[in-house]
Amino acid sequence: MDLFVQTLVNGLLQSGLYALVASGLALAVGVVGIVNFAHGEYLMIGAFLAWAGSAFLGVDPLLSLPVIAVAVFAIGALTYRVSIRHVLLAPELNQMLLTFGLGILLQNLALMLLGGNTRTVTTPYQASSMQLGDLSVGGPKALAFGLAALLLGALYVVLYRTTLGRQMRAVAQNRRGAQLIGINVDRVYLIAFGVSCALAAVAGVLVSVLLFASPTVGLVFALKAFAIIVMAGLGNLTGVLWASVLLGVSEALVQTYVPGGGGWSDAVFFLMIFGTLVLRSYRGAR
Amino acid sequence: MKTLLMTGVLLALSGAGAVKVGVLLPLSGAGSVSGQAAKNGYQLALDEINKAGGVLGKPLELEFADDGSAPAKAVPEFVKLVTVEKVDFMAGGVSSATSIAISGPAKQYNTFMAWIGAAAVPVEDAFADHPYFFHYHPWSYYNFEAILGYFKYLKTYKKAKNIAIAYEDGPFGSAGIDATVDAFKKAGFNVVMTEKFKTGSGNFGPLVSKAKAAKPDILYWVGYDTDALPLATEIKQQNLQLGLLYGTPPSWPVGFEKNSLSDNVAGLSLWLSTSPNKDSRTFVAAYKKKYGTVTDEYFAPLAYVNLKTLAAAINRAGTTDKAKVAAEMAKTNVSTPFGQLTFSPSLKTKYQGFKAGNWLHFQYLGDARVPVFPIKFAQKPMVYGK
Amino acid sequence: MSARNVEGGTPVRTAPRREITPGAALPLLGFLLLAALFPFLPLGSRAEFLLQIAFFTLVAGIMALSWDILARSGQVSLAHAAFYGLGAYGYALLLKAGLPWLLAMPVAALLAGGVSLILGAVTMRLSGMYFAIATLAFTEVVRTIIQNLPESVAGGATGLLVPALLGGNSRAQYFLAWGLLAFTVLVSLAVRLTRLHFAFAAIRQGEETARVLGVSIVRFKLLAFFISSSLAALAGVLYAGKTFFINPLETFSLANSIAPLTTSIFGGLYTTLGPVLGAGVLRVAEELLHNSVKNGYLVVYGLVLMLSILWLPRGLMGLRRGRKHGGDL
Repeated sequence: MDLFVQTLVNGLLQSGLYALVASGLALAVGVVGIVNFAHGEYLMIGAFLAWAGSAFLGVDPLLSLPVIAVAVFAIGALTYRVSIRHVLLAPELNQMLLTFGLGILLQNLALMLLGGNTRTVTTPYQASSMQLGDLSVGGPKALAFGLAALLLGALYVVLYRTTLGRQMRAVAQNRRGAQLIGINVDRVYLIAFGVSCALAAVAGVLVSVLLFASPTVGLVFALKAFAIIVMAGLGNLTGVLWASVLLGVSEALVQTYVPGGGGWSDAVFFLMIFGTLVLRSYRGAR
Repeated sequence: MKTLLMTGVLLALSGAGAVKVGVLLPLSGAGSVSGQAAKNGYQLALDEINKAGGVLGKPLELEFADDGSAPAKAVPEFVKLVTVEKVDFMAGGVSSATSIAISGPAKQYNTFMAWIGAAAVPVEDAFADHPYFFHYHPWSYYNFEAILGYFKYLKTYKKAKNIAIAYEDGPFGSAGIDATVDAFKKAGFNVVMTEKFKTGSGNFGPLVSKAKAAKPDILYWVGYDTDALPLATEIKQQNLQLGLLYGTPPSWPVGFEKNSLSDNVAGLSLWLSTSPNKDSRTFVAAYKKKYGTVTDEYFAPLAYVNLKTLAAAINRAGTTDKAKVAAEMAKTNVSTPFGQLTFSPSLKTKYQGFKAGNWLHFQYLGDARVPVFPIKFAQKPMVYGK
Repeated sequence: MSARNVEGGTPVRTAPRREITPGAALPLLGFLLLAALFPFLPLGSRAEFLLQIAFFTLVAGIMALSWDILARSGQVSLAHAAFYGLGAYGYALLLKAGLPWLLAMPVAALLAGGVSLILGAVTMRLSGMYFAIATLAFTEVVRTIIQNLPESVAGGATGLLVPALLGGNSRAQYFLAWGLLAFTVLVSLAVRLTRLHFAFAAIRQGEETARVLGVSIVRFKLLAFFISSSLAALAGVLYAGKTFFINPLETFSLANSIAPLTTSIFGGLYTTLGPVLGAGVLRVAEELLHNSVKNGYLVVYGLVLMLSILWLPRGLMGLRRGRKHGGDL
């Protein structure tokens, strides 16, 4: 019984990380309509910035988090300006190629500048945990979960309660219509894409505390984030949290209760996504 | 000006018949950390060799090529070194998959290979009948032999009995895992858990919960540097009581020693920069002089030893004739940063360099990696948690 | 932006604006002829090395072109690595079972094609991003299964040794690859020049329209899947026989799904020449960069991909001014 509850906790904690990475991507896909295959690279930039701040300036990653978020927002906005903006009307495949190219560029830039080594951050709270009887809840992961819920909530509020949010939704629904009623579509896209990158960087900061920073760190999470937002339904923010929890918990259950489960957890993760998509397609929705 | 010109002419002249060694390394891609370390080792060795008169009276030439950690890139690069650059000897080699892929052209051109890495058993199969294949790195079964030796010691002196195994689900972690479990059992251990994990996922919660229920004395972990911190974190968070956390990643995270979570984590390495061995100290000093830093990657000294011994064998043979150089190479008996190097048959190949006895077991103690086993190399007593 | 009409938009012509003239086939024939003569070119000491590069370029060409055939039916797949890998594994296991290589190769291709029918049938109703992620998920599941089967079955995570193709003779291997590329080109032309072309294009441009036009969507979508995946499997066989070694992590890697996609877009989608040309140009560019930039050549490579899509939204085929979409092969 203890093991079962602990397994649920483990899965829930892992899902926080998934949700955090997926939230930014959901925004890019939902509002800008761009499938950003370089999303993981912005996470990587966030992780490396956090590492650099900690290693060279001695600043705790959580303290540098706001600065990093703003910095990566700027990088994202720049990316939008010089590249994304020009393929908004192009076929989806062209957008994919562009972001693939961007991903290759950023990843190898990091590799060239920093080498392929794995780097870790040292913080006093890294291994902190709450003990509830025999149960253990890891501190930073719980923080990640809380942050993911908070950010998704904030995104929801912004989208549904503010002017900018209304504009974003209008643009997402009908670009030309939005333009006609006087919305500065370009500005909305720029902000949405920048925020999406900033969210990836926030996830990156937590990844650097929890795991490590390396040029390829983004890949693992970006792939899962894609699967999650698709499972949630493109543009569905609340769905992101549920999909993450569902996937995180089922991964943990498989890892704990299936012999050799660690090898199968990926299969289960992707099989669930595959199944959800197929089932949903047969229930009529695309 | 005149002397400069003269030197130039001399160099140009001498270049004509110089011995050329091709070096195929993963300078980009997944294996690039080891590859770049090896490259530094080669360049250091090259400096020293040429300062001491070169090879066959002329400066030795190195030709580097990047295999991109991918078989489809390694094959053309290998063929290029052999047929376009016309190198006399090949060195390098880190990844197993790329090494197997070039075994075809290597046989076709009957290339002389002084190979540093590629420890997986299928590589041994692929080069079993190659007459000029000198393999420096221990085969993976030698690694395990060394680990078993250490664990047996822990069994005798620390009453370690229960082993939990966590291994990554790729080729690195999964190779020969069944044989590993059998060998532990045969040696009288209880294998209380055998679990796979996905490297780089950082998802160790379920695995550690499971280990906690199994109550192991040793958690033996086969994964990569990316898994070190997440695993140590999770063990601490869930308060898993262990005698020893023992891991065998090819390299460790940069700065891991400064993290208190690394305390008492133990591992395996062919070499440590802090090794008291005389050749190792000489190497570290020379490396520091050239690059200004100290490396912890054992592929640097391995590459260094590789080129030095190859150059010495060519000089002793007095020719670049493969058979004669191979005969001289086979007689190699030198002290190295890893201990004495000689070549003897392995299970399937004829010339195997380092074996089980060359591995060191270390522990993160304070802010450094300290050798703790074999006892005669131990610099500090090991810390056992139970 | 007219580019929008290439895909996804509604009011698009389904028939080529102009008839295909025999002249349209010239560049393609020239390319194949050049490739056939490649081993005989006087390249001096570089000949052997360039032949190796050329071999892998041909494999990349087969992958890209076969991917494009599927894309023509509107199915943007990220499962090409799965069929490439299934081809490689099928071939290796059939050889182990004692089949001669000449038989093992087509059987492996057909087996992969058979599996693709299952995937195609299940994902029939998905489109766009949903389809892409479903196929990606499929690839990961196949990889995990092979990786977790007992080592005695398919080598497990460690991988399988594969006997050398054609005794390791690189020239013979090259001609085999050339033959398979030529075969792929023929299949692609057959798709282009028969009513399959109109059926695929109609489905791609809107299934509703296609249905109205009386196109049997299920049949044609599955046919596209079968053709495309069998050809990808042949590329996998070439890879396995060339590198002697396959393991799940490398053969099923995402990179093998993405490369055909980028190559096709770079060369020019929905054409025969485009993907083949794209493979040639990209591989040569990569090699040149590798030799000149050395450190960080992939940074430049990524930049090239980005710039090409900004300036050449239709890929290399867009360079052929005056020719509108429909007239190209």
